[in-house]
Amino acid sequence: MDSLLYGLLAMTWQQAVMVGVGLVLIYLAIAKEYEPVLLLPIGFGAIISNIPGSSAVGPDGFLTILYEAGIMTELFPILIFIGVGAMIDFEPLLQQPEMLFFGAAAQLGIFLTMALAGLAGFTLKETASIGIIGAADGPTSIYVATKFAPHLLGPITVAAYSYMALVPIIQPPVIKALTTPDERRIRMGVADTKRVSQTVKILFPIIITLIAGFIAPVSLALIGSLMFGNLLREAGVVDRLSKSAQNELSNLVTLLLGITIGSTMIASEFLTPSTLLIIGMGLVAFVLDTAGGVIFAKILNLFLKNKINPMIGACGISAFPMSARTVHKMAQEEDPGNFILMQAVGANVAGQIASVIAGALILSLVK
Amino acid sequence: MDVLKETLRITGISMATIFATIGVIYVVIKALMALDSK
Repeated sequence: MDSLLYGLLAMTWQQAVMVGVGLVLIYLAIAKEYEPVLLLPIGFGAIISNIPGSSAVGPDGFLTILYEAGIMTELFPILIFIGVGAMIDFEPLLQQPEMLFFGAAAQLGIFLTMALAGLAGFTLKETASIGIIGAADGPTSIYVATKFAPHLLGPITVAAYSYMALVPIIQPPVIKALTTPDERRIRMGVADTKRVSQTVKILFPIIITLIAGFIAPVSLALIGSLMFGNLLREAGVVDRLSKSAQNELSNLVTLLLGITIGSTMIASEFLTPSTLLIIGMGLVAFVLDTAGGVIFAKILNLFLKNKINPMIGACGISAFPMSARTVHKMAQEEDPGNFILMQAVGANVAGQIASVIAGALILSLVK
Repeated sequence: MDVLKETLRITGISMATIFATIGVIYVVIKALMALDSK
């Protein structure tokens, strides 16, 4: 009888807590719809990995095999990037390229959080993995953490995806604290919506790959796969491949990535003070990134004749399209006739490019 | 303290490189769009 109930009888309180954490993640995914495609598999992975004697983990466990094949090799985040690239429409950015600079400014929070993590006693590689949560870009966070701090992968991934889902709750108070109602009411005129030709759309991913490759070759795995996915989308002759990247590839890898990340949330490694610190600092990273973008827009306004709505700066984080929607909603709350969605989407897409560059730079500079 | 110093160094280099890269991308997009409208 004991052997039949081994999973229950041998369970420690820490493992029971982790099963509870898994159940909470599943609840948040289903009841609150917080990043359900990731949090649901992560939650389930955490449950089946924390039951004593689980055959899902260990030398022959399928989750351990998936971890070694897909996470340790960095294959899963790279494949996700191909799918993400195939899903992104860069047209709003091509129509308003000045939005690129907000994407750049909003990366500042990554580095400020790294400094804070350093003060909290983390090593340089750990601080880089924690700071990158502020990129608001799940695959980049996983990619950097896998290289620099695989032992922190579970909390970093959970924090990154949870806060991306919580953007509508995190960003508004930060934006409101840094802007006046008059600033939030600034109208930016009608966005330039002239049609972008297919030739430009095809050249864009190729040229970005070349630029990123020449400046920071280490970024090519990330930005190259992102832009490859986008080229599939825009080429117009490989619709089957584009649709496969957007759907089958993306869905399959997300499923495997989620449950595998869940399997890293082992009680002995997850239930530590550093997990709480990482989750707290991930929030700080999101706040500082938002603040960085807003402050950058306010500084620009000191010199510009046609003022920018500083809330656009907050969209420079990579949480797409959540951040753009949140900011547009805030603008409409202040002034129902103010439409800044196109500019917000442009800045948000720029954040995706800038966050990948930031991730790649961290990989090349942190030794 | 070393971690903090190194982080500040990385911050400076990274933000400068991010803005430089984004600047180049901006110029390229502008050029592409200008050529496209001709």
